Amino acid sequence: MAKSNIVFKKDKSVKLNHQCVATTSASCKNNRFVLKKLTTEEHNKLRVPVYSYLIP
Amino acid sequence: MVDSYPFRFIKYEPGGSDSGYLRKALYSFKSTKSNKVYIVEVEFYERNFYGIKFFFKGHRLSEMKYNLLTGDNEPRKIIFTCISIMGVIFESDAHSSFGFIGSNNMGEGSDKTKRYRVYSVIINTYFGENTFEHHYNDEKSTYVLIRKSEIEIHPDLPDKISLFISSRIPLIFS
Repeated sequence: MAKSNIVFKKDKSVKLNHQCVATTSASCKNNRFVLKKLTTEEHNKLRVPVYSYLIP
Repeated sequence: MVDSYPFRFIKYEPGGSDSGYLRKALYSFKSTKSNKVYIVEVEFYERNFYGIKFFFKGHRLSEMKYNLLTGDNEPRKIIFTCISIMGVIFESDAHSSFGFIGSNNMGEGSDKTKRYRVYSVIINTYFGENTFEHHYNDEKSTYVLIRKSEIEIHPDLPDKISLFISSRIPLIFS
């Protein structure tokens, strides 16, 4: 059988959304729901300091 | 202790086909100010993650039940009742983590909703950083308290919880 000279290359410009469903890679973070960690500074800014914690 | 209404457990319902969603517990309480009955849904997921939702019972048949307002001007006591239910779960399940989504009002987007801003202040006021790591997503008005002791055992827990929540978001926003 004759050998083809055509070389199939993966088109890296095409991104499928389903690849982003269950991955934590940085490239997919724009397409999926991501939780951010609140900093202590943000926590202190949000809370009303006159009340004590129910759960510390 | 916060000022809340007495509540009662109603029943368990089976979970859905969504990722990690195991079952739902239903609670109810009655506002003595408005005489309205509220339903609190506690969705139980894998890794001991609990999603808290509530609505006025009179809106139970509406697809917008999480988005409609009652106009009774007593959000704090109703939210505190949900926090009391969280407290019971917290005491009974040493591995528990919690989350909520601040649903949008009619005509409001999903980003930093009014409910989310109110819930965030209350949660940060009454829940410190020793027991829970606080996580959030402003774009989808989502706030999560994750047990630090569980993150030590399962470092991927925030990612798992993200997956659980992402499957439920379309049901929350109008």
